[in-house]
Amino acid sequence: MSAPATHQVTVKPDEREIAPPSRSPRGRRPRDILSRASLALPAAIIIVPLLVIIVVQGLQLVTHGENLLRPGSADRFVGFDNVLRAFSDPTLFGSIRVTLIYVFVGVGIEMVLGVAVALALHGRVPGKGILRALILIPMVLTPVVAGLMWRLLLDPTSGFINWFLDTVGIGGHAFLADPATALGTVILVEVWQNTPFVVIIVLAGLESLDPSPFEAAQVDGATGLRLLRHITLPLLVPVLSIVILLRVIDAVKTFAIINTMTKGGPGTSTLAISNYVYRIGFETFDIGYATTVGVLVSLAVLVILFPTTTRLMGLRVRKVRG
Amino acid sequence: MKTRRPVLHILRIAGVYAFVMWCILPLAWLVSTSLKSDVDAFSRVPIWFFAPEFGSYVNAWVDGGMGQAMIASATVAIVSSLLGIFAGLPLAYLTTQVWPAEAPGSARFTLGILLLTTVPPVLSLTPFYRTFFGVGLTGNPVGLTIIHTFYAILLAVLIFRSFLVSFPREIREAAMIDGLGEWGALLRTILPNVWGATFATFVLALIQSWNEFLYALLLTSGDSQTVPVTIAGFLSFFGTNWARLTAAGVIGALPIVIFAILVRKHMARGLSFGGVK
Repeated sequence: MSAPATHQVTVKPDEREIAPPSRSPRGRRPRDILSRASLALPAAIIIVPLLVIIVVQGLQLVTHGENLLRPGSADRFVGFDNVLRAFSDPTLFGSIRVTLIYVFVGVGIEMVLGVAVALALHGRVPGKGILRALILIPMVLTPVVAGLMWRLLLDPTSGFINWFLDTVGIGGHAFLADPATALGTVILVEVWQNTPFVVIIVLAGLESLDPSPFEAAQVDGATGLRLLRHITLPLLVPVLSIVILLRVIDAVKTFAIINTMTKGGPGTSTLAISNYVYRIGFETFDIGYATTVGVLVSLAVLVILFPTTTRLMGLRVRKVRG
Repeated sequence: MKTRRPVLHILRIAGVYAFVMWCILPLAWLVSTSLKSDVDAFSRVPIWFFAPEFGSYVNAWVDGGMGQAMIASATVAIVSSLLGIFAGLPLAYLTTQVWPAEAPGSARFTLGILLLTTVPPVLSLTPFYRTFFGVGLTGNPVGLTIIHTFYAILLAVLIFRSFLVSFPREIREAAMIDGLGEWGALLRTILPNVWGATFATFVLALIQSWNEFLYALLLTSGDSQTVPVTIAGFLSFFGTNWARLTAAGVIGALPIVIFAILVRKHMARGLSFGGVK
């Protein structure tokens, strides 16, 4: 397994020298076990109760037809009805489709654009330090603010974009009110906000590459696209895989941009999965069914993404070496 | 890449600048709208020249509750980030230094943390809401702080792990022989070597908490509303008052943007959990 990166830790030489020879005090006395357990304790205090809540409440909610508006509905046992309902819910399949398009198109454009910009930024560029700082801003901007800012820009009556399109003669369009253009517009904002993430990490990856293969290839006469295709991109594969994975994990969770720009509308044309679960749970208060959809979708996400995650992060339960 | 051909070089630089403009110009529009009067902000034809007014900022801060929201957000973000580091660092230390990173125990812990990072929040939305509502943890910052601490721990474990996984284990062993306990070894030999990672984790957890919208929307209300919830609320309550809305957006985003620029050197490595150096 090629771990995505090797790590460097600077150790002062004298500290290395005072380290004792190999034998270590590996006692199994109760005191040791206690002190080791105490290292995991602070995290466990937060994580374990939350996991218990997910399992206990999750089971309760999935098997009951609870609606917050109907008193007593929490006790109505429905067995697998919620699950069966999910499998015949066209809106759920619609929102899975919206999420898939959002993730594939959004992350796809982010990767192509982000890698291109990172390659262009790698090398001499006037004002590079300032450019790198400016590129950072969309990425850390509160998604709610990003969504509202683009909504302002796209406003059919007072937005800059429609004024501009009118002025150059193309003609304005209520992009967010038209089911045909709403999803594309929301994806545009996703791309605006998150391409800088790809740029920053790929650029850092480029800068940490070993220069010797490049020198060798240049001696052999390789330039430009050939160098890019046969040397740069293959060396970048580990970094690119991590970036894609992290972007996909994040894009699947999208909520804020869509909630502030369209609330999933018009109709259900931009209703991603998080927005759908929120709508069922906290607009129609059908929280039994909302939980069921959340559980099913989460299981699907884990089955699809988790094997890749563990592989790319260089993790596997395996035998101890040595 | 070195290009010897000047045309390509110029095209490359033009491309970079075009991308930076694409990133920045919408923000320039946001800031300029926030400085306009209500009427100018709503104008059909863009107003290019105007005397900047700060009335919308005062309006958003005082009447719009942004002042209150900033306090709520800062409290939740700072407390959850610090708790996240306090809980995450020892766990990362346990799974890289006490046990070797390849040991089955370590790998299982880390897999668990990765699993929780991958799973979308819709899984826990309703269970957390129902439980927290039942015990009075909604409508105040406590419930949200617990959730954000949970996510800060996941972030902290993954970042610290990426820094500690190649850290020589002999140093801890030497410290143990010198009679330091696990916590003593952690604080006196490991922590001084990971201050950079600690700072990066703190800022990334801070940004994550400050920007988080889904749980904040669900678990806070009134005085405990965080910045994103308050700003989103402006839309439905004040509809078209774009000047006030954008002023609130600028206020809410500014601290985070400044913070991010300050730590950008550690950003790439922290953001990719050590995927790049």
